[in-house]
Amino acid sequence: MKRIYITIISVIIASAASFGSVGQVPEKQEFKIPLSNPGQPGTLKVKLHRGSVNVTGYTGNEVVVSIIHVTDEDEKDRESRGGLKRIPNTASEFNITEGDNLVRIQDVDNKESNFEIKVPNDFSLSLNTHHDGYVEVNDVTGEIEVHAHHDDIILNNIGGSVSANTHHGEIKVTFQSVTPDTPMAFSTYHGDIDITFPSNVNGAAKIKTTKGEIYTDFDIEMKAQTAKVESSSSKGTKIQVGGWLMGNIGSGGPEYIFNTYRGDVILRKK
Amino acid sequence: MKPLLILLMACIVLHVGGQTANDDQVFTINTAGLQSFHLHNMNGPVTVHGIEGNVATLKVRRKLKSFSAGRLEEARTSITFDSITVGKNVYFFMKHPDKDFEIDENGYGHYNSCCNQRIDKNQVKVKYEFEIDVQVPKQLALHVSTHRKALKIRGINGDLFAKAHHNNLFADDLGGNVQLKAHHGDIKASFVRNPTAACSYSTHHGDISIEFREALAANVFLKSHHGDFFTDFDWTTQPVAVVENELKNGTRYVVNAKTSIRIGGGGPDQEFKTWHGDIYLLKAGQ
Repeated sequence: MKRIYITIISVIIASAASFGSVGQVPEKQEFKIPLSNPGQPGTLKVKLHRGSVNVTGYTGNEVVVSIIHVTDEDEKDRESRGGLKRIPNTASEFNITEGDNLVRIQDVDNKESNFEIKVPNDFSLSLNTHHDGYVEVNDVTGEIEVHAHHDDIILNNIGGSVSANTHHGEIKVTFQSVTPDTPMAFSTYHGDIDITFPSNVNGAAKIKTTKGEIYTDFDIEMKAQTAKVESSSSKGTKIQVGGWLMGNIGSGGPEYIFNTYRGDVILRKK
Repeated sequence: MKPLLILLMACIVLHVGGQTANDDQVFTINTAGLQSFHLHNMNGPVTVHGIEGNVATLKVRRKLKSFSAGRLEEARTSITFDSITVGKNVYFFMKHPDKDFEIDENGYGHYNSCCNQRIDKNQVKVKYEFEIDVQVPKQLALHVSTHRKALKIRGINGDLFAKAHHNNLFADDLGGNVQLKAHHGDIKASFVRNPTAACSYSTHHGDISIEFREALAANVFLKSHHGDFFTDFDWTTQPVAVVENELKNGTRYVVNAKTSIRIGGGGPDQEFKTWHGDIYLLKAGQ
């Protein structure tokens, strides 16, 4: 492996007024992670237990990671004790690794922190958070995979392909372009799925919403999935009847799955 | 029926009580020429007083208890308190057939718990406790620990390493540089002179409260997973520490979980770590 010489640039970008002044702790800390192969596509993988992730594509060649301390709601009530000043317990522990343009960020102590990350525009993403956090991505082209169990997934001006999964949030994606012949999936339980595709997109839509409606301005002729035998055993035969609606967007193509239980599915033409 | 009930009650009382054997022992040692004084207890409270002069005195009360008279008698000679001098360091420690006391290459003593194979689980156990009260010359470097029961120290000016695993650690009127450790208890300490070198204070389930002199100048590192930090000193924040390691196929940056502050323009590192407790940095006399 190519040996990488990197110098970490650790910059505290909290306001000059707060950093260094008596009794203040910076709320935002920024790290610049140089890439092994600047100018080449790369991948960012983020795995958090608690916190939000906001990724924005830009024209630079580094991954810029900002960690934002989250103040507990009851933290202000604990500002002082017995005449003593409270030193905010802001520190969280993270591992960030970089190798061959793959940048991984993982929390160590499960404390809540939000991340604002800038990546080169052509970058693939794998973003995973569970508690207290949404995922937002802007202006990125690549393979994008997102899990945000308890909150929304918002992807704006996206190129490439997307796999988005949440449980308690909505999914809203606006594509600038899509990678041809690449399947995509959008799945939630309690929220809407609202996807805006380029007007010339071609795909085979597979849609299911148990409690919601389906809206679109594409010309899609939806057909119910025919009943099919799922499995057969000594206990009998399991047959799945319906649930999914199938239809081609444009001339058809790779499978695009849209699945929610309580929300609507909205497919928009850009 | 009544005599049978009385007999049964008597047996229960005897069983609950067991038999005890307590005795006292006094050790006296001239510490002139010694560099450090080490005291390692396993089960029992330890109280340390720093004194003037060169003579250290240990008062050791041994408490043995067993349901077997034979085992109790056996323990009188097998569970004892002893000492050894290695170079310019003296070590006082408990001797027990199931525990080895060892001194490592750095001169630190500790018990080795490798000896479970020696324990006959069918044998009637002997409970033991050593209550230790020590007077030790205050300028001597002190290394003191107990595994169960509290550890109290007062008036030590030499460098101090103190550890109380299952209980609280209290250390007052300190004048040297210290490492104070607990696990299930609080740490509470005060200085008559501020540390001049790096010190550390760590526990897991307790609070840490340290009283420094008002002119404290230190770089302070604080870590608590579930607790808060409080102080009456003025302080400034320091950049988060990032440790960079070269990997086979890249670089790892570890963003550290310590809150870093500076008091009085900075000085020797003072590192505080607990998991479930709060941390207090206090001005003396406030």
